[in-house]
Amino acid sequence: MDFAVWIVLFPLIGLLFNTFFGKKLPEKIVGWLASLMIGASFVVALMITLKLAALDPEHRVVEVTIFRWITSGNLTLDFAFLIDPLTSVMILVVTGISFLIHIYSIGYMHGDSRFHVFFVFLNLFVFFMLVLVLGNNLPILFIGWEGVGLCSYLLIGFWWEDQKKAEAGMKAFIVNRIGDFGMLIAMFLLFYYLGTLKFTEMFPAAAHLWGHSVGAPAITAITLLLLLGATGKSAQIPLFVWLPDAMAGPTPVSALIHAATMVTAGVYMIARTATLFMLAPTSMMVVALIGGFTALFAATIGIKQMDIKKVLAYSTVSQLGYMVMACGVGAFSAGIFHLMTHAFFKALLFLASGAVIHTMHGALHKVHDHDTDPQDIRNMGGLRKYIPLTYWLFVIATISISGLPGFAGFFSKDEILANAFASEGVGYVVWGLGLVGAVITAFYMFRLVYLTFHGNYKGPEGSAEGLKESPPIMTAPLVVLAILAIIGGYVGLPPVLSKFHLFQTWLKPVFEPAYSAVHYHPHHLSHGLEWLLIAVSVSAAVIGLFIAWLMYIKKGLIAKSDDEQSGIQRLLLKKYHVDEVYNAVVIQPLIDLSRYAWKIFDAGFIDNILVNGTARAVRVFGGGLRRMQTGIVGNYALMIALGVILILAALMGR
Amino acid sequence: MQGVMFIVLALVTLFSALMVITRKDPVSSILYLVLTFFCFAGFYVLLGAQFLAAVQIIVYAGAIAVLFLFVVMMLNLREPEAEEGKELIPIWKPLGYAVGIGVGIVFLSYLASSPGPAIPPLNGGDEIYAMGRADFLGKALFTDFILPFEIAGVLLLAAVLGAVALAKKKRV
Amino acid sequence: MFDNLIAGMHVGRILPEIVLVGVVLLAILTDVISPRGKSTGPVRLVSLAGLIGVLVATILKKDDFGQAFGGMVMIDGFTFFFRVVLTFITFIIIYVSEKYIGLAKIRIAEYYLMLLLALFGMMLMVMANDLLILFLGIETMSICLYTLVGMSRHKASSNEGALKYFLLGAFTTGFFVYGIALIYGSTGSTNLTDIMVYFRTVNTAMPVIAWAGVGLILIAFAFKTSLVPFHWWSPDAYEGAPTTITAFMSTAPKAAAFAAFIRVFYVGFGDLSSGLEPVLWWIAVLTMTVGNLIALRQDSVKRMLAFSSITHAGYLVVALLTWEQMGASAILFYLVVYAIMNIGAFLVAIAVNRDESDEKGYSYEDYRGLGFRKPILAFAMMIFMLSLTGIPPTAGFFGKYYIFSAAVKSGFVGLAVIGVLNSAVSVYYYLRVIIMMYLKERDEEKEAPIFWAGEMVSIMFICVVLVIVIGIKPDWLLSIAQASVSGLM
Repeated sequence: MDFAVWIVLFPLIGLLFNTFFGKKLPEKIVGWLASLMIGASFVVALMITLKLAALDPEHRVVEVTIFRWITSGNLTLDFAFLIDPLTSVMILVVTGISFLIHIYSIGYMHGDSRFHVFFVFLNLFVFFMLVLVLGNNLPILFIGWEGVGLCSYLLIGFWWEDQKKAEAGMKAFIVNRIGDFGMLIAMFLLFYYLGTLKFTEMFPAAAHLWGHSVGAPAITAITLLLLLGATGKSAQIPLFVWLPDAMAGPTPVSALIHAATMVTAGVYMIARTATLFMLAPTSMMVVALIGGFTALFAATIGIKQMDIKKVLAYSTVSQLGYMVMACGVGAFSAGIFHLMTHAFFKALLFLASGAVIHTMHGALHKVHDHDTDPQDIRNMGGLRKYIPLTYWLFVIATISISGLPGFAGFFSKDEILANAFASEGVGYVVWGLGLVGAVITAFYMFRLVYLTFHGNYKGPEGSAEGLKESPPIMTAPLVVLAILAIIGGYVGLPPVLSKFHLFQTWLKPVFEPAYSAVHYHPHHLSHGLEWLLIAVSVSAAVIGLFIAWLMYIKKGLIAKSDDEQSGIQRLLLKKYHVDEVYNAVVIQPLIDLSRYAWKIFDAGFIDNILVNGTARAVRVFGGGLRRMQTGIVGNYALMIALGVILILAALMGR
Repeated sequence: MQGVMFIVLALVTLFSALMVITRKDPVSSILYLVLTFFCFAGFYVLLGAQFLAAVQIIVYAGAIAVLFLFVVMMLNLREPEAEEGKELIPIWKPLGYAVGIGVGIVFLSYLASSPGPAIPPLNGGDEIYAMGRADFLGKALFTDFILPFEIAGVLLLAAVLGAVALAKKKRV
Repeated sequence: MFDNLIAGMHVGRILPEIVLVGVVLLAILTDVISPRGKSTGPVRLVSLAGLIGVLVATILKKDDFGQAFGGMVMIDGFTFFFRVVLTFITFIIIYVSEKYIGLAKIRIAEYYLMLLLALFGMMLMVMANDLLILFLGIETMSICLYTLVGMSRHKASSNEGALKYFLLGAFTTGFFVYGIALIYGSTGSTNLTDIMVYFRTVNTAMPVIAWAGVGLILIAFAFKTSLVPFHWWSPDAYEGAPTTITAFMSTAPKAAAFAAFIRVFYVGFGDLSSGLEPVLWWIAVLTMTVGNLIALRQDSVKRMLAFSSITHAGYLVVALLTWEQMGASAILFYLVVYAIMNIGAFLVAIAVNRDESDEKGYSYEDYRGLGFRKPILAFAMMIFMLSLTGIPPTAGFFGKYYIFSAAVKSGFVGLAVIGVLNSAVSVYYYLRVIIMMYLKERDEEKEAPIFWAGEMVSIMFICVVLVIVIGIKPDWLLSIAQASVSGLM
């Protein structure tokens, strides 16, 4: 399967070409070239999947070595791809969604002065994302991991102007570094214990080493550190704070990176290292709880947000929580299933919201209104009449995410909840969290639909005439995504409806070793119970929908301004003050510490106090006038002598 | 006899070294430095290195210290101006004493817990005397220590070039 | 008898150093016979040609390994590695300097002479198998560096830095010599091999005073590699020095000092590792952390790079602490990678700096909007910053990766954790440059012209390529490093 290397080469070609020639070429060529390269990658991904499907299920693990990468002592690593069913799902999702979003961007970024740079970054992102999901060992995964982080950072910052946003965006990178720190340490420890970092060798070795001492401290620590990495990338508690701020970037970026692909890398990583996690039941429990709490917690914040993209951002955090939760209860394939359906409907939501913003922006621009925020839902309302296509697409996605029967989101979310219910330990707890989260999800999503598209237009006078549907180049990808958001779930029908779960069967060879390492057998629910669970989760969605309808259509409530909020509403609006707490607990102390260290250790400080603080003589030396500060050297010498005492005393008492 | 000589020399050395760093007037400071150098020469004699002792006096006490004196006198660096004497930050002085005493304690405690030299003392005065002679030194320098000797030449070249680079008039 | 004596010395094994001294003399001669004030050009050419000669001599003697001068120096793969690396760095610095020294108003031939002599000192350091030779090597190098730092005589910061460096350097030299004396007094030799044999045989019954000697020598190395708490000189010296010299000082002398550090502590004091461990542990932690925390607060890119170089030295101590081949080869790898990315970063800093005669200069503000103004230059700087941070796929990532995996392998998990945390903190200040370049609007009124020189551009380009190539395919360099340290232990 050597042709697989082309899947990463196409984006590379695209970005190199646009780097060197993009500036001079017209937008159309730049945009379409970048898009077609990703399209070509998608075709390669399809071919890989078909080839894989042609093999026996047991043999669906193919390694494609590109070059000998590192040989150092006892560590030998190839730069190689691991192609198995899990990879095939990921590359299909990544290239497919990316292709659509690339095309959408041609319309969305039209007229931007750095049009080609945007596409270079976008191609670079796809390249790294593919490296991430294809790598056959942890260091390659980590390279992709860092690479997508970097691209995400560059793309968030694409439109930044003011200092405040720049600082907010740095948060994304720094928070992610905390997660990466966990990854790196976990990697070192794995190498220390197992002597290899290659997935195909690592998992049997781990099963061999810890199989008889399940839950040993070492593997628990390693998996918790990996989890830390996942919480950074996939925006889970406690490291989720960066994702909502990342919405400052252009909307296609939010759709691609901060909804459909990059943020799911953490989930992918957990699924990929499923064997390790299965060996550490405590970590699994932590994973499940973090996922469950994030799902609920982020959903509640979503209730009160006024910025259309912020609502979607918190919804992403919440949905990622469901995926992590699925992994935590051992239902890895359900997690990946939700990852896929979520990619469809969340990309659709973001792109549709982008279309809305595009429309609002155009309308406001016409009346020369630059003060009104085109992303604030309080300025929208009634848009259904002006942009019906976008409205219907948005509604489809909303139904899908809310989990109403028949749509993609329903199947995957239902599978997660059923698995949570069936699992031991904290199963009921996380099921409860997920269920309440589902009610709230339906509520805030329909609130968003009602406030944006129903009621009366609340924008500035005269701007209503400017509201126009977006160009076909933007709406066409939306239609494709909408179809996927409807039918995407039928590859994984629940057991009560069909005996054959296509998605689960496809992924089974990947997760089988993880289960067998600890002799784990997934529980099966009786049909009756399963029907009951389906009924419960559907009614949860309906309740949420109903409350939203009651409040925003029946009673005609409109969103209140910030000052009118009180009590718990205010708490939600302020996102539980998490940012403030982080600032006070983490960031400020670091700044203080740095200032303190600077005072003690920086020679410059001593100079300033001693030299500027006292009017020292300006000495005449040689021919010219020079300020000399030699007197201070004595103090440095004193410090050095102090160091001498410490070291000699330490060696003496050794 | 040698023991008494050593103690006397050591006391004088310590005293003069202390005077070097405590005198405010640079000229007297340098004069004490000359005295310290003389004492070092005394140590060399006690160790049987009479040639080195002579070189020590000629080079250090003679040439270098005199050069210092010349510079000080030419630049007329008498007592530093009064304001310089102002206590900059009161903590430095006591800290300096404390660190100085600390260094002393550390080294003394090392010495106290040491059993004595590991290399056996040279047997008899003749051998010591022979090793200190100029011809012995010369032979050693040009056979066993030829490499360090040559390197020292390069080191001096570097020092001369460096001094010239910093001292010569600007011509840019 | 005389012939035997000469033959036993193996003079041929130090051919590169002999050639180098010849080059110095030739360069001095060139300076004298050139027209007044116009000598730097010819001297530079002689130096460059001479360095190629040194390189050729090094390669000619590639298979002639062994000790020379009665075991005073050791010519092995380790020496070979550093001879090549140091000669290359010196070559690069001399190559890029000509236009810059005009700008910095230090156009004198001694600039090149001092660099050559510093190289001589460093080459002695990396091959020294005797504390005496090591001492002479360190002093030769240091004297040249003191002069080079103070070369910009019209700048107060340059004078100040040089004087501080000189006085503190002289101060620690005292400790170093005393350490050698104590070692000699207790072991009866200054030869590293003899010292090792002595320590190995007496082992438990070792005289306590020898520990004082070891400690003092450790302090001397800590000073030369600017480890906390002996780092005081380095920010001022780095800031005051002409920037090409800062680039030089943070790479070549640091590499040479670490090479000697490795040889002395792995060969000579190899059996004392367990006793030295706690001290080095604390030094590593302090050095990594303090350098980082102070670099966070700097407003000058040059000073930031100076402090961050302290942090990088801390990482190297982590690897040193492993006392294993893996750690030593990680150090060699890191030193090369660090040299490449750091020289690159300093060259960009020179190009961007507003006004060379400004005392402080090198402000972050100069980078405002550089990404749109000079996309290629900014891209190069971004690569260097990412590499210094240690983000894959750049060379810096593997440098850190090898160091920390060596540390974990030897059981220093805590140290690796602190190291990785520190490298996470370092993101903040390296990234600040990238933010300035790409995320800030240009301020056209305040922009100063970019200082371009063809030599600088070509070296910058090579550095970028190397950083990426090593970042993608690091193992060839690592295997060279491993082969180089294999003869050491």
